[in-house]
Amino acid sequence: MISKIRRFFQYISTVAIDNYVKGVLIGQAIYQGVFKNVPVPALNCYSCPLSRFACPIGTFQHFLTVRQVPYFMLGFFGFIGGLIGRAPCGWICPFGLFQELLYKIPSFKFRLPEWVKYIKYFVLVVLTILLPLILLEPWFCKFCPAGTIEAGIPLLSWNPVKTMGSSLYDLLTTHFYVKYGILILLLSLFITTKRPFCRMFCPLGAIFSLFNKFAFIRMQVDLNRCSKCDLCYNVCPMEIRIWQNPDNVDCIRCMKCYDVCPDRAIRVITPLTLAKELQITHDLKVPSPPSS
Amino acid sequence: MYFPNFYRQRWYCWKIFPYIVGYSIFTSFYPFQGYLENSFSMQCKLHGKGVKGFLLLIPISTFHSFVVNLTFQILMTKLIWMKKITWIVLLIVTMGLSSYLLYYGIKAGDNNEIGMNASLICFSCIGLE
Repeated sequence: MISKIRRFFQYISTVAIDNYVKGVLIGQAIYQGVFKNVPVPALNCYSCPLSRFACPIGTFQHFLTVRQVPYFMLGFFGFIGGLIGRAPCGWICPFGLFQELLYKIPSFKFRLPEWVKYIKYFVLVVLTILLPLILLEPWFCKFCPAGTIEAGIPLLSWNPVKTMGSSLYDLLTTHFYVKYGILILLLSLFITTKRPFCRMFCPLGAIFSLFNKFAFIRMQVDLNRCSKCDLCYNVCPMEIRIWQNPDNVDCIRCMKCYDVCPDRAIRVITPLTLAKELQITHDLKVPSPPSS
Repeated sequence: MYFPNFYRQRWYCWKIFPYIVGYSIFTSFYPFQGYLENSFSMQCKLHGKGVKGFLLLIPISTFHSFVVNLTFQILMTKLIWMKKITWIVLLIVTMGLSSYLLYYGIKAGDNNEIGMNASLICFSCIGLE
């Protein structure tokens, strides 16, 4: 049930983020209004003709390239991560939805090894922080497949700049072919394995994953109830065994495991749940005074 | 609540006793009073009133050590409790720091910078130079 709500939420958030149809109708390449001052907690290219919001990773890199401390972005990552951990990847991100939909295409499927999850931290540190800081260019954006799909393909197909006397095609270089080559490779992975980009390369997922262990909303598994049937593992879009570690850095709180668990061993906890539990524990432990 | 129940355990009272005595002696020493003066305005007032003031420091230090040790004991002996406390403490620190950074970023005009940057076509995103 929650999985269906989540899927609905993913569609709603995608439409809410990318809905600037008016721009296409009036020939405006991208939205330039007040909402662009705000990033969304999802990988969403701000050069997309339909996008109304800023991309958090693109913005973060921009601050590094101009050698400014990204106070707002750090606060943004901390606030969202502290509140819901990596849940935006499962509930909001349009690119995550895209990967999940492509995986539905019937084809040969395979599982990625567990160690690949560490690649995204390398991408975060090197491509998203160090290289922009040293070479003053947004290096992650140069390879970002979300940018290619959301901005590159639509803008080059539409080519709105040609009305101003030149064309975007005049700017094509080797970089263009490298970027599209990466996209094609990833598209084949999207069809054959579950959420490969989120698990291997996404720097935003890497940032939010750091908060999974102590976010306000967390998962808990009652091991006394759990029969370790691995049904949760089979449906998990991130291919994790939640009963081994409910605070797994890759858990996107999609709740698919909650839906399929036959033992009802999985639940969501918050500090409020904890306070309630401690009160119950105390009530059980303290003996009642002897009646006179 | 959990605290009073924990405090009722007899072993705990005996275990904490050496800490109380040790801490009282430690904090009553002159070199440490400067530090304590900054921490406790009450002790600041008492300091410099001769022997009477010095003697009054002992019960205050005892109380202080009791509170410090109570927290310390709970954190060190009850690992599950500690884990839960760590979660809440980290969460509070993260949310507090993030809220401040958000506020500071908005005040510093970060949002305008974000808006200006995001209103231009990013050639790197498209794959152009």
